[in-house]
Amino acid sequence: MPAGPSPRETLVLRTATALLALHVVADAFVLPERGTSWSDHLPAGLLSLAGLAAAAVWLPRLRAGAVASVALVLGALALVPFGIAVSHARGAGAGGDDWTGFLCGLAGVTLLALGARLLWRTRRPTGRRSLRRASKTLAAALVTFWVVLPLGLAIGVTHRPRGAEPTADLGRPAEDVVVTTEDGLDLAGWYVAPRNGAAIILFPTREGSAAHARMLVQHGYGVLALDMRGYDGSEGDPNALGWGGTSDLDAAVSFLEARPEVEDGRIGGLGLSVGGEQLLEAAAGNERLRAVVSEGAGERSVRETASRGASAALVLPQELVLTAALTVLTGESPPPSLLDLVPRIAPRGVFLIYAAHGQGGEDLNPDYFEAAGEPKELWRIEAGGHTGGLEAEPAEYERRVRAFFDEALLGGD
Amino acid sequence: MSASPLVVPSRPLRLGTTWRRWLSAWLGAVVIGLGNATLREAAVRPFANEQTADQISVATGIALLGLYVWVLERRWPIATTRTALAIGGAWVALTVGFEFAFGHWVAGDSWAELGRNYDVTAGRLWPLLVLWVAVAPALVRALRARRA
Repeated sequence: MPAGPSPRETLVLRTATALLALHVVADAFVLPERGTSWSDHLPAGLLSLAGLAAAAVWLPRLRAGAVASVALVLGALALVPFGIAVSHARGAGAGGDDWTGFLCGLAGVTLLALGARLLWRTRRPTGRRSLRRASKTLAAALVTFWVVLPLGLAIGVTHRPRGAEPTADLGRPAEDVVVTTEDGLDLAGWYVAPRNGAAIILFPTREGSAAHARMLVQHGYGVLALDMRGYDGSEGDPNALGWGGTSDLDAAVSFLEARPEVEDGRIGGLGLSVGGEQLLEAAAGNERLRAVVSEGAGERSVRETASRGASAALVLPQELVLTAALTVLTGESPPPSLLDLVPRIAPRGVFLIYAAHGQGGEDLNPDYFEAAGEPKELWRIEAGGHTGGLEAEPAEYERRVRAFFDEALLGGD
Repeated sequence: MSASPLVVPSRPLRLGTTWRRWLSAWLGAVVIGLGNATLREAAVRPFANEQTADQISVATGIALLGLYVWVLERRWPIATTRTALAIGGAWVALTVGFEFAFGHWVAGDSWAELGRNYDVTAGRLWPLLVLWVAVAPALVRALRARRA
């Protein structure tokens, strides 16, 4: 029985690894996101290439079982960029680094097949077979849960596929605007001027918050619906967990302050999911944001997960790997825990909404509410899922959100 | 009328070595095609409109595939022109099948959109590349035979 892979298997392994390296080069250096350059991705790109080079050079020297394990992990991870490329091609048409993303699919399937073949070829028919297989299955399950899943998730959240250019339907004519951040990124936005002197920032996407915009516009509020950096029409690298994006909201506040229709800095924000988290963080550091509605805020890093204590022991390693991978891929430090940030919003108002059957850690909202100072509100919506409050309870949602903003921005007029 | 005896092949149907090698090598052509598309996005698209970029991309694709077939034919010579044309035909079938199946069911393009790639009257040169795939093995083989 050979100790390692055969020359042909080594060739297959190295070819598949080379295809993954090609995608890393295209994604990080040759075809970076709009508004970014190759130098923004230097550490992450070089580290990924170094890892792939090490796999190509050293793996064939290892035992077949070890080679199989790494091939299976690499193969599974390779399917993530393939899925992203497919999703982007279906949403906005194939372009950019989608082509090398498709190649990752070929590489991924090849590596998975190679891993399975190596495992099968090197199985040992003698000894305590059942015990050995059970322990290997358990180890594989734990590695998948604690390592492969968070690594795949980290790749996914930092490469969110862009959708097609949406069309504004906000109940009144909307102006296409560009909001430029402090770090020079152009963000795509829709702006409807207020009739009551107050304006609300809607985050993290124009299209996803259109229904909320219509609700606010019909009550006289102005809205600035904005695509977060790296999302849809905005420049920059995406981070679906919202790390390092509060300057988007600072720029949005400055944009609204410069508008003559917005009176006395009456500016609020309504964020969904990661948009809610970002608004909470932005409001903690920006007093010009006078009131925040956050729906579906949850966990952004291991910092929030750690606050759960012993009950999170099983998922803590997963969150640690995810946080570490995101730190490497984005070059950003993990943001502070929302539990530390929400107390800084008072005496400005905060309204936390979450779904009883939500996701992404939104069951932490009662803890955020506990930590927040007055004035504050909490609403748990029994029906509907993550960020589905307006759809599930339209009349009550409208009544509560409107009353909150009226009180905070119009003085209860 | 007497019943004709059932004919059973004496050995399982197997592809010849040449066919096995050349059909596997088609995967390399897929890699080259997708790499060429990346090249278009990175090096051509920033300086040219969509149609011009597509046309340049067809030219670079023809060059890259020609080079690939040249290398393959030197390594795995094809015995006859007929076999070379048959291999080219098989590559075309695989390429077009892959293009339409992947384009429709994976990338989400409509059949009409995929069909537009073949509209030479609209300036699309993709059929040239498909034609090149069909004849390249035979042409390269003929060139090698002449030089030998």
